[in-house]
Amino acid sequence: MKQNLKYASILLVVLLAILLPLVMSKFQIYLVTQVIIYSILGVSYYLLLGHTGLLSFGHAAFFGVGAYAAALSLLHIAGPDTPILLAILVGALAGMLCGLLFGLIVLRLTKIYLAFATLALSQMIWAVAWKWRDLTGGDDGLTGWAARTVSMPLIGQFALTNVTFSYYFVFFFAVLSIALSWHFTKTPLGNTLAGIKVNSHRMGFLGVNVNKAKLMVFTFSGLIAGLSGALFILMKKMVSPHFLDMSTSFDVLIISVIGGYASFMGPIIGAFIYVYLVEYLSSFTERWQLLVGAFFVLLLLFYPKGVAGIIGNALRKVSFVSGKGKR
Amino acid sequence: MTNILTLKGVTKDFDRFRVIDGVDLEIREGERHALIGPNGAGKSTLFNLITGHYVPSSGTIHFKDTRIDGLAPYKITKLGIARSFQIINVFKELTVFENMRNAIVAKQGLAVKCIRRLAVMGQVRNESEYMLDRCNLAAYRDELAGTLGYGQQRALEVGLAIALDPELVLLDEPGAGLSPEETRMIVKLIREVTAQKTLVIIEHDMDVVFDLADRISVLSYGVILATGTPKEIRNNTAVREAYLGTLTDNETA
Repeated sequence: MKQNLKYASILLVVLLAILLPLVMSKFQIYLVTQVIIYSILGVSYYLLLGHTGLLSFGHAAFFGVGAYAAALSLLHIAGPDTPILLAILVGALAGMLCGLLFGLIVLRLTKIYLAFATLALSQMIWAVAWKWRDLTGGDDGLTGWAARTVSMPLIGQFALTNVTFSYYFVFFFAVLSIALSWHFTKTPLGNTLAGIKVNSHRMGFLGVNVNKAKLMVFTFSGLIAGLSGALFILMKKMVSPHFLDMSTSFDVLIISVIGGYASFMGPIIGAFIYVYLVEYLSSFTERWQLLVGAFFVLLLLFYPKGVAGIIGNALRKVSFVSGKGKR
Repeated sequence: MTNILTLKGVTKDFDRFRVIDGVDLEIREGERHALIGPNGAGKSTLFNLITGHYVPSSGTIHFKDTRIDGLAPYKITKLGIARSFQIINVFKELTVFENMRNAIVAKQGLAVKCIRRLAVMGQVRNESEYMLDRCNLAAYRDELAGTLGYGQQRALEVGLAIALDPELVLLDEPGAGLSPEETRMIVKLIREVTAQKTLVIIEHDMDVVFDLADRISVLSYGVILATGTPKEIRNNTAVREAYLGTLTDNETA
């Protein structure tokens, strides 16, 4: 019953997402596309923090490396003829490599030590992007693919500037990567990682190679984050060191906490709230960050489990009233 | 009779303080071996050395023909040595079933597999439920482990080690903090589930020790005072002094 309700609501969201662009303005579609990309990024972060209990302050590295790798592919592999799908693949794989590399370096660290080691590593990558002007364009970043088209087999050619097409394109990858991430959490490895979150010490004494499991989640998280970075440059038509900046890492963290970092759906809900909150507050005032900050603090104080926690509580109350309170 | 575990000259120093001082110990295949000694004698430290939690400062540890000192705990566990802990060390925020399933997944070598869903693996589910049944925990299947009574948590603590189906089981005070009734149950459980295995058990309850053990080793201040059958240990003067201190001297004086 509860399972059916879950699948029904997921189906409803997917259907809505497919139909919405038919009634929304171009600007709204653009915003929702951004929400979807942040959702992918947020889910990749959930795998580390919410699912495995690994706190990273350097998640922007996976996102940014994926973004730069995709951008460089678009510019250098075959010039204007570079297939968009190839660039996305390169971006995702670069994010994956970055995840693997981070994992190898910080494997034995936990808690705040892990957080600061990942922060330091990501800032190093940011510095490379900032300084290596010949490759990355320094603080100007890279552009030059705004006029590209995507050729979709059987469907036809679409310009990247076509907002509606971009939306569906990104949505397709979101469904794919989020479903894959969901599946990942349900495999024996996903189960092991959840066990590591609770008691990694005992996991080791059950004969589980805890470091290998952690390395695998870093790698997989990097893959998904890298994919989101590649999609983001197609939407923004540019890449800059800001993609790698620690403020981007903290955006991901804030998105996770707002939505509920311990829940798979949390970052998706958080991405929605964050993008719209920033968009509307910044249209009223330049000091929007103050208001976002206040909202963040209030939520932390009163609903530490985020919006997903609030929804969860409400659902439990409903099922309790209807006499199905047993978990 | 062949030795399953052999410690030679094992020493462990913490900040120049010698906790284990040249321990030689041979555990024979199939025996039930009790490790006793006063508090702070180094019994748990010895377990931590055998299972890879600590690396010996000197000396060697062999599991059958494999040298295991210095190996990571998970590698030693995979070779066939499983342990339980003196302080309950289960997955408190997971259900009893999920706890046991973690052990079964590890035992079946599936822990880092990431293609198929765990839920469709019937053999994992069946074996987990079978082990819960053997540990008398089936009734608590869906309770969170941290909310169980102390006796049940103890049973789960031991059960997680046993579920790995190891050749050598190390149990660190499985009866600690239990009522006499609960102790009887856990001893019965230990007897059943270690029937075909080699067991080393740390225990303070002498009734349990003398009832369960084929041989006993006495550890005091990081040194093995004596190893022998329960009868030999009972009659050993050095052991009596270690346990009773200078009381006998005072009495004779």
